[in-house]
Amino acid sequence: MSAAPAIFTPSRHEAHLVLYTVIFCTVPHFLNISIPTIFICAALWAYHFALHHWGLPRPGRMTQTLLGILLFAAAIISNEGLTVEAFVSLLTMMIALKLFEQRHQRDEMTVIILCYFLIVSGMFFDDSILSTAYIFGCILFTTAVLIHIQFPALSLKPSLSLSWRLVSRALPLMALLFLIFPRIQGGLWGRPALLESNTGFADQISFGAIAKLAAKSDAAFRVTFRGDFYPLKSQLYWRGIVLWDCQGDTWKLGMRMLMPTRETVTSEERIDYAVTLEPHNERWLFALDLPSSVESQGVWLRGDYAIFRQRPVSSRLSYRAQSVASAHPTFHPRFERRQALQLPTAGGPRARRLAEELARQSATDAEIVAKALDFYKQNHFTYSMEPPTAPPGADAIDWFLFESRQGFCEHFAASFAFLMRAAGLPTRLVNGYFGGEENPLGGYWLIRQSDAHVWVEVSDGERWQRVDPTLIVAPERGLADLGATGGDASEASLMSRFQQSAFGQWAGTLFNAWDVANSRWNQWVMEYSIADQFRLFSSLGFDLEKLKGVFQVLLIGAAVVGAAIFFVLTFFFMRKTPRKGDQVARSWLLFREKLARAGIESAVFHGPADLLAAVDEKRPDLRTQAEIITGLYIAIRYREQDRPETIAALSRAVREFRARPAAPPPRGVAR
Amino acid sequence: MSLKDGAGEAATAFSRIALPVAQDIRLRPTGHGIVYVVLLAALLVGSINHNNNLGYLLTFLLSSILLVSVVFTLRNVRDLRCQGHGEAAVFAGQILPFSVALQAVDGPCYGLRLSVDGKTWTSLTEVDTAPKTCQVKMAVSRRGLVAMRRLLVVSGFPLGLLRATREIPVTLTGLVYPKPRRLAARGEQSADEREEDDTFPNRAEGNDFDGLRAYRPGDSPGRLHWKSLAGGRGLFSKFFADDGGGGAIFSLADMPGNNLEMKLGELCFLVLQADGWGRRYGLRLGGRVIAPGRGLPHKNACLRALALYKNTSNAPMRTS
Repeated sequence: MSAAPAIFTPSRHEAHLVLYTVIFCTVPHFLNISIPTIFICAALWAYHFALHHWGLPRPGRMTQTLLGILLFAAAIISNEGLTVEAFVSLLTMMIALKLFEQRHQRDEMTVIILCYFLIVSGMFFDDSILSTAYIFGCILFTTAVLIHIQFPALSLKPSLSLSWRLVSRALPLMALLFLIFPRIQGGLWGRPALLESNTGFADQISFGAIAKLAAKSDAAFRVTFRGDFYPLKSQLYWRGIVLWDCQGDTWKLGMRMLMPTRETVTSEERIDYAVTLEPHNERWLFALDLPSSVESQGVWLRGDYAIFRQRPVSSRLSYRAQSVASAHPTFHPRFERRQALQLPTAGGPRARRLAEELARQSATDAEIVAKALDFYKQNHFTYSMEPPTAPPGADAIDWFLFESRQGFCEHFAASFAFLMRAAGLPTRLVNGYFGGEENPLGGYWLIRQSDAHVWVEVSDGERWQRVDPTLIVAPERGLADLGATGGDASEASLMSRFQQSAFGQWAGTLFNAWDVANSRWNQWVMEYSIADQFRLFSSLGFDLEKLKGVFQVLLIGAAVVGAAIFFVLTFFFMRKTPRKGDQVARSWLLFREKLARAGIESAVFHGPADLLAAVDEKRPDLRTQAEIITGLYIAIRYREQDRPETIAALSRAVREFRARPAAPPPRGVAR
Repeated sequence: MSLKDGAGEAATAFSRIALPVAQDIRLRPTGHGIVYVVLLAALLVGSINHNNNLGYLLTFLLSSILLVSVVFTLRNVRDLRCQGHGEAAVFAGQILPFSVALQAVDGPCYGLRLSVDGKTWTSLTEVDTAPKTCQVKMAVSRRGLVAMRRLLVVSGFPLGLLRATREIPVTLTGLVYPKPRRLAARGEQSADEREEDDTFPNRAEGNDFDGLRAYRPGDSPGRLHWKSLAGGRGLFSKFFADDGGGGAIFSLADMPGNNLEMKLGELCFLVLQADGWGRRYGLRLGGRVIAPGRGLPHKNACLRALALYKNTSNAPMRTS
């Protein structure tokens, strides 16, 4: 059906358009792919642009193949194995390379179709409104270019308007499919890891790690208070993980096997709230100190009141939780004492001496704590997001406590906990968030990555008491104006200063509105779940919950999708095939096939008489047989003698038609 | 080839049954369409696996775009009015051009490809509501009357992911003259190939003519007086006095050999040669005699007689 492809030279205009499409679709991935990949892509694009603009030589097939192998290796190596990022890197580079291989229009089309794939794979990284809008825009443009390169009669502008018509008409159908397509909660198999999210909240802290987090103003989670009780602003300690294992300047999780807590915190003043946690690819959740219960699947509250989850939080997660702000965890000496006093055998000699001295001077445990806090207060410790790093060879704890005396929450908490353990008090570190910002428009609190915080829990023999040494040094962190503060050059502090002015207030309102929009978008669209689907169907009168079990839901879903596919196939992909009843056409077809095998080929427009003439010319020995068949065929088709017995006779004659392969034509016979 | 033609034949047989308008259109995915669908499947699996609602949203957007484009694709071939007109004539082995008038019914149609035999395709970038004539070509190998009853219109508009094929019932007729065959070529087929250029000989050099007259459409190119054209005096044809009334009569019965097609080819060559020389000639085919004459209408009548002589393929075929 295809005509011989004409030699295809894409016009400069077209080639540039394809290039722009590729660039538009790749740019949002710059955040996700490695720096070398970005440079490689940019170089390939620049060359492609130059190639069409100034007519530089096109790289040969050999060069392209070699380059392709190199880039494949580069994508894998620069992204630490088979991650989603590696896949995206590979895709971007392959598309950039494929740009050079445009021999036919179909090559351009392939590039465009790959662009669809590339832009849609942005779903793995960012599902905010802005990102979604950009992706939609890209799909619109890509579709327009796909139309334009194939149908140049439509210039770019009409192509864009046609593309808009296509997309806008597709939207209702898309919405319908989105709502009714059955959701499978667990996913199909293990998900390839995303590198990006791993830089979130780590299961250990060492001097300097939180600073990276604090620089990010991204949302960590949002909280809506539901009940009658609200925490005070100074009580907004969002408990994350508890670190037990001290290794000097690094603290690790330790106590991995902690059982679920058996005690329940009961209080009248129970704070009820809902959390929407952004994915961080770790296995814990956050809750207001001190959580009493968490309602989510596959989640348990550990003995140290850290909330763990069976599977990493790889997509946005909503859960309800209750907390009692005034409660304190019980200290279980039998299980916890040894771990809570553990210290490395070496390291921090000056700190240990200080701790021993504090212990000697004090009569009670509470006095030790107070004296240690005084040490911070009186020795001019300063809060800094960019503290100087310890010189090589120096002990990190000692250097911080006695030399630099600059740092942020983590330095204060870690060094304080070290002192406490050295003084013989059971101590542990809690890693979480502190504070948050209320969004009056949305009625929720936004907790950002920059609110990350570390504090200390010291046992008084019966209960764990929260001690936050950071507040001694930087009390402004505990004040009403929360958010990330204290950093001298940090973005967050700039923002808080900014918010003082009138314009700042206006901008703040705008920011709040935008955050509400994003939050609603997340809530209604991006978190649409099986439960919502149940609710939707039951409001329509179908009670899916009665059917119970994912299996039935899947079955229904499969039936719906199957029916849709069947509908599409039968309605749209209908091919004309002879009906079963049309024996005549099949017989005639068979006859022609047999003739073709005997060396007599015929075209569609050759009638029966033509065929007979051809038989006459090439294989006179078949004449008698062929004459009967063509005679019958003419009688049925052209003389309306289509009685069943005639048709049967035709099919029998064709079945019995035997044509031995043509003998070589006798030589020397005049033709 | 037999398979493809088989499908065509099957379609032919099928179209005997009167079908609603929409059913003369077939829709198939192109290679890129299949790639696109595979891509959608991959995205769906990815969305399910990651339980990613944005993934679902975009996958369904792309699927819906494909489904909506079906409407545009069908409309693009449906809203087209087609009419064949005129009768073209060529020699066997040449390309027969049919004239087809096209007109879009409601807004322009884009990127159409037309064919009558499913092998040779004519591309049109755009057909507007103003009627437009184009030529649809078909290779012919046999003499006779060719009547094509359907026109295939194919378009991948707008995305090129699906291709709609519509069969439009038309009446396209063409006449195929026998392939001219030199008498000398008899028995040595290769010479026939080599001297293809001599198939339509000009008038032999040296023969005098009787005068010039103004060119009339239909005058043989062999009789054009190029000198006067070159001299800027306009186009003149050479004019020969009748050489004694009768002229030659080429008779089929006089041709040696048994092969009818070969003999008709040779007669065709003789007719062309005589016409090129400006001679009077006639033709006797079995019982039919065409009296000697000259000029284009005469030549055409002779060639037509040769084309249709004992030819049965002009039987009233239903389609194709």
